[in-house]
Amino acid sequence: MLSEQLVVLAGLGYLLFLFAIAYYGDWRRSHGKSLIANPYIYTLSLAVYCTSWTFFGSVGRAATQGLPFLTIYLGPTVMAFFWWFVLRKMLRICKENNLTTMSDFLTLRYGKKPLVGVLTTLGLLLAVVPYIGLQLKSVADTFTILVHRTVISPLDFPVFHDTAFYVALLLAVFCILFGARHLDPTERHEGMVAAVAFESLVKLLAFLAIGILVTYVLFQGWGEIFTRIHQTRGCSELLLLNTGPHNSYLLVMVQTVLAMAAITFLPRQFHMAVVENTDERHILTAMWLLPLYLLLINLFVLPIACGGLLLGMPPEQGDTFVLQIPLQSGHPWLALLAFLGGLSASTAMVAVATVAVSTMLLNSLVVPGALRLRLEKYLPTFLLNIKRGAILLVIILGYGSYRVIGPSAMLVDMGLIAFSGVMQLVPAILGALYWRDATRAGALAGLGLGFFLWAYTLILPYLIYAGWFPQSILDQGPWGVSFLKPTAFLGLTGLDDLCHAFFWSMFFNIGAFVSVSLLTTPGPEEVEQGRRFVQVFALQAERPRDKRFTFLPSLEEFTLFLEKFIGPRKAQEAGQTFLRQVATPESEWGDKEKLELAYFVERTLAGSLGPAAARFIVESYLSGLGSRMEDVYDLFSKVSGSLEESEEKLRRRASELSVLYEAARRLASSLHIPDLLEGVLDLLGERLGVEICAVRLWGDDNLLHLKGSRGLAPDTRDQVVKPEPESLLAECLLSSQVISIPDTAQVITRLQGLSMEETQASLVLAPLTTETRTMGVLTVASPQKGFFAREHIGFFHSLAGQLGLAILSASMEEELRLDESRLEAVWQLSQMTDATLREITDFALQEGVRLTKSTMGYLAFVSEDETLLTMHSWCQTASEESPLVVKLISYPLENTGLWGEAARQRRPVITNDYTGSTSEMNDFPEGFDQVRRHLNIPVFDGDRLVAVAGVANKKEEYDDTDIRQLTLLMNGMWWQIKRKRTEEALTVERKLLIHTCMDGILAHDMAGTIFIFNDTAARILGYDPEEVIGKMNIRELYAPGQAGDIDAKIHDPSFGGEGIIENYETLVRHKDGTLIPIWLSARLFFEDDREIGVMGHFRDLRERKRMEAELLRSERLAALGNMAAHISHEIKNPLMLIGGFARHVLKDVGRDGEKNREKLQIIVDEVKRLEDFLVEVGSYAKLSEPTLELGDVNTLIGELCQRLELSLRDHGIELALDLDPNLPQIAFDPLHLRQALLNFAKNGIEAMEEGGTLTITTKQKPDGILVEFRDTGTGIPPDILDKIFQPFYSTKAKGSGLGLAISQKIIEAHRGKITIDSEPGKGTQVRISLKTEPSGG
Amino acid sequence: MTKREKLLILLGVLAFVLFNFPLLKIFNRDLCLGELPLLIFYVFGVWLLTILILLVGKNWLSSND
Repeated sequence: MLSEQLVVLAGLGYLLFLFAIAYYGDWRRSHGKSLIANPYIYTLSLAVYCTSWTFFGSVGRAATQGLPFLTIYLGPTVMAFFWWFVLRKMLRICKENNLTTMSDFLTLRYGKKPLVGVLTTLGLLLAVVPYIGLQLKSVADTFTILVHRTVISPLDFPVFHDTAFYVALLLAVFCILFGARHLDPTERHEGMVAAVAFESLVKLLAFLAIGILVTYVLFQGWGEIFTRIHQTRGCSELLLLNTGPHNSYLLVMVQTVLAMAAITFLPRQFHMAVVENTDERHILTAMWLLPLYLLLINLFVLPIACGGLLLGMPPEQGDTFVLQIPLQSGHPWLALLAFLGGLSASTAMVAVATVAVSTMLLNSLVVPGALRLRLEKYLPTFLLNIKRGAILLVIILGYGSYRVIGPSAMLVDMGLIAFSGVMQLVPAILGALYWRDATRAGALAGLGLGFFLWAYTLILPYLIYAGWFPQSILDQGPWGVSFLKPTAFLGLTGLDDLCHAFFWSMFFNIGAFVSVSLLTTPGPEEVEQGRRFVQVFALQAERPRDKRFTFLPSLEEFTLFLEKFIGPRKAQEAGQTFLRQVATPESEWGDKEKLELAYFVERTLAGSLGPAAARFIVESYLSGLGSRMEDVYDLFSKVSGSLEESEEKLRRRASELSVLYEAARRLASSLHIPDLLEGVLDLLGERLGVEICAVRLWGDDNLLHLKGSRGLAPDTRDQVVKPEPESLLAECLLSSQVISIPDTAQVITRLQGLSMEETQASLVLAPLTTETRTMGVLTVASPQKGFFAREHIGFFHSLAGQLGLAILSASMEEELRLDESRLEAVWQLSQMTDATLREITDFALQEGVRLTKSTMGYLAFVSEDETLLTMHSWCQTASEESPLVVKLISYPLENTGLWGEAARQRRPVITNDYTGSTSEMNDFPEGFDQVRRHLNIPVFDGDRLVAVAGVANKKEEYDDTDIRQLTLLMNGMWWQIKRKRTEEALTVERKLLIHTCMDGILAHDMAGTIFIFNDTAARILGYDPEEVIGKMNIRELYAPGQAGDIDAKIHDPSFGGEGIIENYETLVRHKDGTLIPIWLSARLFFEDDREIGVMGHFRDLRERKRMEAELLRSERLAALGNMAAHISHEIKNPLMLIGGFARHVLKDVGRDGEKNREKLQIIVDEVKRLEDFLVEVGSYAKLSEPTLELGDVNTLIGELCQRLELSLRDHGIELALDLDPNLPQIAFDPLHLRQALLNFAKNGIEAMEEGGTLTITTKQKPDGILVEFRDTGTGIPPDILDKIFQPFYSTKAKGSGLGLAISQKIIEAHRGKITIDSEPGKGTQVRISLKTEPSGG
Repeated sequence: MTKREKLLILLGVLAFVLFNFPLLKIFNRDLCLGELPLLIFYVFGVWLLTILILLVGKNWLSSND
């Protein structure tokens, strides 16, 4: 038992000692020798994670639930693997932006608007306040145990007798002293960190001391404790998992995840790990050392818990084992040490947590609220006290929560509630760090739903247990709706409360965050911050260069400004820090440094006020400076100033918006560039009271042309300048940034190109830009210094952008319109197929004059040798006064003046300032030479110059656009003329070809309609072409039935090919109905593989037929005459003999009987010869069809030889037979064939008057047989070889001339073939081939 | 991110798996190794191993920097 005074003294003494450490820490820091800037202190400061929940609560949980308590420490160990990536990234972002709380971090990432911060702060407050209450309870309880040995429920006492209340007040003082002695823009409290690190050491040592006492003094080591607990009934399952819902695997996993989030994102952890971090490399040490610390502090938890149980203490008092064991075992000093250890754990947690949460309250709730309520002028004075108040408030709230729900919950529950609350931030934080698509709306939805479900499913039940809400909500659900029961949401049962709450809150949180983010688009601010957060490592070196202020306050002004918020000393320090950072003396600062200063000031303020407020304040301040109200404007001191400012600002903003709107309207209403410029300049004067303004545009000559102005001297009207590189004009055009000069006197050397009026005092240059190029510059000026405020920059930027876009689209529109107009003209030209050359040129010229906005024009052709220019067309619009008189004459090219120049130089020539003829030469064609502006262009056909065209009298100067349009138009015209000429020539040729062709030509489509029908066709068929073309069908022309026949034949490949018919003889019908034979050749023609028609030509066969018939008749007549002559000759001789001898016999009748007998004998012989001849003639004339029968040719030849034997012997001829014994039988007519063969043999014999050899050979051939007669006679001369088969042709004196003719006829009737080879003087060889199977027979 | 950094992340995932079901189930037995329960042996053993890996991993990160 320890006396109350002793314990109080020890406690207070310990706290005082902590103050000493803290004070020493702060003192060291102010002397630049940081006490905490080493990784081990950093690690120990992170051990603030171990609160009294660890110190006392772990044993309590171990005693009741067994091992799952360890997950709270295993989670951080797992998380340590990811720290280098997650924590370091967060750290980098926070340092970069001087962020001091989690809510600021999220606010900045999600668009700098306060709502995210408010939500985060409220959620965290709800999570952390009971946790703080828990610490108060712990201190109070341990104190009571130490003094009274029992725990007394605080609710038995009124507040003023409750130890915890006084503990709360004491801790509040402690925290205010630690965390809010003064305001620090970085929110760093080195003293507090040093104290916390010391406390971490104390709690570890104290716990180890108790652990050693239990394990090695009261028991004989781990082994004994575990062996005994194993044997104790009902306790063995403490050493196992998953024996019930209180230690399920699911719970283990959920708690591990919660602890992973808590070690990094709990407000106190965030504060220690991020805000108080001095070097990010300290994380490397903390990564392994903190897990080791956690392992050590948990090493004896199980032995103590088991020891307590073994010593007979009730498990439900497990939270107090750490104190009770030393007390009961008679080690009160150790109990006191344990008390101090627990006190360390509690105070450290409360101090850091309240500092963190109160900063959050201040930055996310109080300051934005004050700004909204327009109370910002009071802020600087009260900021520190507000912060102190916030700390006190947080602790009192904690105490309140302890009074409300404390008694119903064990220490451990509060911790897990807080963990689950912090878990709700995790999606938004990870989204902030890694997901650029995460949006503010998504974050709000996720946080809102997550916190709501967390509160509903986890906190509400405790409030119900505490009696704040009716129990029926838990049992039946709110309003009796059972599926809304907080612990069985949507009917999900079977999970313990923690897992249940974890699942539902994360389900809705992540779901809403991701889906809403995907469904919404981030604002520009969010996109920018998203980029900066996610790519913080890559962008580190980058500085914000996207905004441009030319007029920025000096360091001194900024320091004065800062003083109002953070006090003079800190402001000075900040100023010095900045000077060190930029490492450039202020006198040498440029825009870059000043911008950095503004950014630095914003960041410094963000530390005290949060990023949203800091941005607002600095922007307001900056916009106030540089305006006319510089001296009256003091945002935080003078209400009037601020009110006036905002009213003025509003008014101006409204008028600017209306100007922009009006400008957009005017710009949309015209496409004429001068109109556009005038419209905008007028608007500036009317609506904004701007007296001096001008627009300069780039010309094609790369010079700036003044195109419109107000308030400038008249002589500047056509001003043209080339901006020098150093000048403001060049800078503005090059950088495409708006430049605002409050006083031109400061930049006197850079005003080149600007007029006097523009450079009196303030000046704004706004580039007329489109996405791709800068078209020019808009300048606005005022003789008053600082006339244009920072807001104006944005306005002029928008206006100039609008104007630039309008000019671009107007110029593009103009070109498009011209192009369109020209194309239309060219198209019309191409349609003028029937027009004359003159009509074409006149039309083209007229269009050319219109396109170039000229009033007159001419066109002259150049002769082939390029020496003469011949005027061909000229035109003039109605607006021209004096009528144009141009002579249609030729000019020698070398004598023509300026207008011939285009032809001679072969390029377009612009004359914009012609002052009249000075030389003898004709500068322009007559009628054009009184005009000031001319444009002449040559027209080429390939390389050959074909024409010169000219236009004149445009109102403005001619430029490249005119050249382009006119050239393209004239080229189009020339192409048209050329095409027309070629086409005409071709058509004539084709027509000539078709119509002069001696064949009839016709073509018809697949329906049969005729579309080509030439003169010859018309003549053959007796029609006029007009009657046929397009009117008649081809079927009407063919003889009946022929059309289908021809259609079939044309598709049949065997008539000349597929789709072709060649020389097909058919009949067509003449107009008078007679049928006319023709030879038709025709061809199908195709388009896209589809038959579209037939084209054919035909030849009249009537004449040919007639001639053929005539020829045949005359041939027959000739043959008949020949035969008659021959026959009469053959008959005349014997008849003369017969007649002569008959007359002799008549004279001598009776006189000499013997003589008459002889004569009569001669008469009889001659008559016999006549009869034979007539038989032969008869047999030729009526040679009958052979009657075929199978037989052996060898046998036939055998018979033949017997017959010939006599005459062979007469002529002394030797017969040689070479007969093939295997000769196949063939079909033949024996009578006929014998006669034929006999003829050949007799001829052979007759050819050998003086003897020789006749050889007869038979041979077998593949398809028949061969019979060969070979003689060694006189032979046949070649010139008569082809005549010997003609009838009546004979070389012999006494031959009828029919023998061979008959033989040939016979062999042909047998479908055989005769070939004769002969060599005069050597002999003749006759081969007769006969087929085995007479083909076709 | 270097390969070793990625490896460290993988090891972190492994640590999470080691401390959770189903691997825990293997060691969740009513057995003693010496005088200590198997599960306690396992959890503290893995914990110590994890710390050693982090100590090595720290050197990877600092040497890469």
